[in-house]
Amino acid sequence: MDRFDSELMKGTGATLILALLAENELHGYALIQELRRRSSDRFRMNEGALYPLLHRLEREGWLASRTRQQGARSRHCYRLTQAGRKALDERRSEWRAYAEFVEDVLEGSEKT
Amino acid sequence: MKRLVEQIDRLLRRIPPDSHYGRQVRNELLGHLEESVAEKVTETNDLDEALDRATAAIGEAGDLERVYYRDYLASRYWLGFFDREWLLRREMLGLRVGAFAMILGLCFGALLPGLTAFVRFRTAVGQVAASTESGASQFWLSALRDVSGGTTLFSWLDGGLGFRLLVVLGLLAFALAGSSLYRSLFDSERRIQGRALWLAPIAAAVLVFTWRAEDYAIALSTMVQSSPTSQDFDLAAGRLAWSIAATAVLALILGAWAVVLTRRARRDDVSAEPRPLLTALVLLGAGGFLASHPLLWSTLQRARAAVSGEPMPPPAVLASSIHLDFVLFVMGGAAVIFALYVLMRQLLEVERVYQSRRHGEV
Repeated sequence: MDRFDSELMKGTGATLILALLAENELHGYALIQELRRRSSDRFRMNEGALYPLLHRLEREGWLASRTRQQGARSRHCYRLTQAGRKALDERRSEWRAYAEFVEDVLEGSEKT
Repeated sequence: MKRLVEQIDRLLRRIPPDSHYGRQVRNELLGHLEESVAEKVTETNDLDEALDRATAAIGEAGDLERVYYRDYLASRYWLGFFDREWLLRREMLGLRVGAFAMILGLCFGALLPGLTAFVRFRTAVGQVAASTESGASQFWLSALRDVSGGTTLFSWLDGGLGFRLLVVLGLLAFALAGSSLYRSLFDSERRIQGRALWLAPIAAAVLVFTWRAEDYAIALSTMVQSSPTSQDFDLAAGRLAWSIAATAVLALILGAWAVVLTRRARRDDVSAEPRPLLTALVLLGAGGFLASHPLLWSTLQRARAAVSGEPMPPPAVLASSIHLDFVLFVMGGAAVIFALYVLMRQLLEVERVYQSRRHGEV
């Protein structure tokens, strides 16, 4: 199956990360894997862009991080903060309104 | 593992691995590469290829280092001024000692003697200002003679052993600062000429401000001695005028210096440097000019006029002038100390960036 158009994905990375971290505390690589799994490998976040994005979200106070020992390995894991949860709610509402608008336009174009 | 670390160092060569932020990102990327290589090894059955592919994947954005470096600077500086990791860099002990000694030198060799002399003079002016009768010049001279008897809190410093002791302590601190800075910045592997560019304005500023404090003390001592003559005032005013002129020239030189260093920093893509560097140099110039007492010079001229029998302004005007001069002196001194601190931090940062880049190139 083809991957999503990168133009289509622009701007959604932060929202998706916030949403995934609302469910679980995850490290960077696990976030990438989880996005791939849920999109059936159609959504692949650029690894070089992920970590700067995570750091930016942490700097804005939406994420908190800590180093966890997982077996012999230590992993830097992220979780959502209260401010991040609020930001996610706002983005979720905004996304739904936007998706509804896009859907309306697309449906309209089908009828003509 | 060693190759993973080397790859990360290559990706993040501008971020010092011993900084808090550097350790955090390196740990994070190391964890990422471990996972990524493990996955790719199962696909390729070749460790070298897996490592290359994993590194290429994380670095393919191209601007990873630039973004991290920007974040690193953001995490390190507060409003572009304060270096949060200043206390964490053990390897720069010499530089810290140098900076501390230089501030001590400023306090002992310049600010404290100047402040002491000022307090003594201020007392005299206060006594004059308390009288509102005519014949102010008589009260003025009378009050000066009273004070010159040594009744003020700081009189022990006035031109005596205490004052000289402070100046000597200040000069010793400057010597220690110079020695520490030299050892920190110019070891055998580094080019002296390029780095000396950074030390020169600091040394010039220190010299001028030390000289300034001495002139200040001389000017005030002249005004509080028991029988000042016109020649005494001329001598003190002359030195003070030269001192103010020298400080103004220094401010101009520092301004030009700021332009040169800013261009150089931009050319070398040391993107963090221009703002705090410009701030420091402007503060140094402006602070130096404020601390050089242009108002004191005019007050000195008025006092000379009083001694010569010319019309003299009311004592309250003199007192307010001196008060304003004191405020300028304190503001200027604080600006100079702060500017030197920022310059120290900038020295350290620029040196580190150049060094890490050089190591990266190797």
